[in-house]
Amino acid sequence: MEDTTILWLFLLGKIVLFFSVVFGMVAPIMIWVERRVAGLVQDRYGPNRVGPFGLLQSLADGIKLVLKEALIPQGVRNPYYLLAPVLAVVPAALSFAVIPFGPPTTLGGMFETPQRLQIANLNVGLIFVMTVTSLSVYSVALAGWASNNKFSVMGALRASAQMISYELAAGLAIVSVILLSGSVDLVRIVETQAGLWHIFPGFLAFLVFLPAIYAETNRTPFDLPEAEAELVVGYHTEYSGIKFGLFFLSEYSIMTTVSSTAVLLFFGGWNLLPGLSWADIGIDIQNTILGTLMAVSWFAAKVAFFLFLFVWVRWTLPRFRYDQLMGLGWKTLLPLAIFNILIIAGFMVFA
Amino acid sequence: MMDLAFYLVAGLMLLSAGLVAYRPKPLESALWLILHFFLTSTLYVFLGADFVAVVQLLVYAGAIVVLFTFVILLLNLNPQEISGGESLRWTSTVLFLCALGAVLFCLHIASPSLLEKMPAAGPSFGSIEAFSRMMIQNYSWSFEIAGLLLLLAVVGVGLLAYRRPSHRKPKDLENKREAA
Amino acid sequence: MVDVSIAQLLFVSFGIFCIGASGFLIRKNAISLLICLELMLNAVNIAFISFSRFHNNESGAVLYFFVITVAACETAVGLAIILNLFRLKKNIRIQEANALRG
Repeated sequence: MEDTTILWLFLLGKIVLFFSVVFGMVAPIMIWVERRVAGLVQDRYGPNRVGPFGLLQSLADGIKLVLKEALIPQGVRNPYYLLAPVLAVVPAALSFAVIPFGPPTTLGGMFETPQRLQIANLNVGLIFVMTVTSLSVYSVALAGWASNNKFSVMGALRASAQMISYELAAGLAIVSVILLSGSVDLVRIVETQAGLWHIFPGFLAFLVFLPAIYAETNRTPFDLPEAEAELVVGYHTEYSGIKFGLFFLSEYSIMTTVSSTAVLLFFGGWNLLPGLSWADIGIDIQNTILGTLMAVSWFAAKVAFFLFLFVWVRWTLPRFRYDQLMGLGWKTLLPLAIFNILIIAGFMVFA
Repeated sequence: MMDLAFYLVAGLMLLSAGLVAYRPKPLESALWLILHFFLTSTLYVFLGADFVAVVQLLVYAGAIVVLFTFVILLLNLNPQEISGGESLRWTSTVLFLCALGAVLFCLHIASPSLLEKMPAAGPSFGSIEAFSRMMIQNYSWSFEIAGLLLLLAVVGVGLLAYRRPSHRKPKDLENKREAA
Repeated sequence: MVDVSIAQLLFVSFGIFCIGASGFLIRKNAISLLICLELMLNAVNIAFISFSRFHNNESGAVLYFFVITVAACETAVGLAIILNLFRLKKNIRIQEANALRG
């Protein structure tokens, strides 16, 4: 058995790594990617003044947000107004506790038994991710209602109704993946995709899951609740400065979480290719540091592709009208997800 | 050390329950209820029932209290509606506290074996496999009827909350335009 | 994970039940009544899970699930009824809902 101090240091290292990478690096890089890709799609330059290729733009924006006056508009309901951004960031941060970003590894002999690259080794990790996503509804509802602004209330109600509708479809798509892999532990789910990724039998599940996660994070084409033309940014109109920054941060963090979940559930996590594993090309991902780093980078590349997909879809597709949105969630995706469970169950029994 | 953690969680549970039951505004009650459910989930983790803990969060804190929050925000009651006349009647509180004390006393004198530490749980206690095996093998009828109950609840709520859209006749609009 | 006796867990459960029941009896707002009802159901759930752990039998957890199902259904239907009460009387004080018709 290991020396417990090494295990505690490893845990601390994982926590520091996760939080510095996700909150410190992914969010600013995603903001830069978003604005440059927006420019590319719209045939113009994105930010290119601040630093080479505009890379320091996110840093400048962050400094601006922090230094802005912490304005509290008159007439807002005070404890809830200040609580809402906190309630947005806490679930976003909490969901990273169960996402594994690499295979169980001994890190080149530092540990005797392979240790997981997850902060919290929950048996029910996947259900925890679903739980935490459904907790992010509170921040939206409270932010809108506390803002003393009719447009914010409408935006908040629409956004939260949309989120809870699409949670159901996402949950049912996840159920079919649980059927295919026989476990809710995220590392086990990746291990069962060593031969065939779950996207192949579960293509319909992925087709249901992807729009559902776009709607969960209120991204286009489902971003009517925060549409600038219609609702003046919706539920976070009255937030400025670092409070708005926290909402923004939580949106990008949840995007990263659901992208990681999509990769872990459907695209094999850190497995190399659908038929080819790392061991086939001679790389030992469990026992060597180089192998582990390659597996982690491959996983990060897949997550980065999904994040880019979020941005690409945002600047390509027009947004749905609200009744079209709700109709899609309840009348199309939910029956499709249920039908998909039947198909997957049939596949499991007869094949 | 873990015992201290249990006492802390149990004390906070009782405190947050008191806050839920005695705050005048229903929105504050709902938010303290979320905290109470988080603490309950922690208690279940202490007992080793992981799956149950996560489901508690998912269903109670993530769906039922969201429902409460929506209705409270939608109804948008006047503050007078909520806090007017909420006088605490201490008699019922005192009565229940006496009942609590009586039960404690009975527990102490009735069976000293109740005060021993609990036996260690089995190896697969609280796992999703053990739970689902028990449910599908022994309680499959109840499971199906629970599904039927949920369907009935959905249909019932749809029927109860449905409001026929009011059709405004074009005649009324013309009258308004002339009057304005 | 933690060494407690069943009596301590039952005390916690009964305490929460008492607090919920006393809150239920004194509230005048219909939604607060339902929230105190959820407290009472939560107390019962704690008792179920403690007994499940005590006897090392998963039936307690299964019954916990059924209690959650019933609680969810009852909350939904109760809130729909309260919504109708609000539409009728424009407030949700329980004392006002004392007529059988209208």
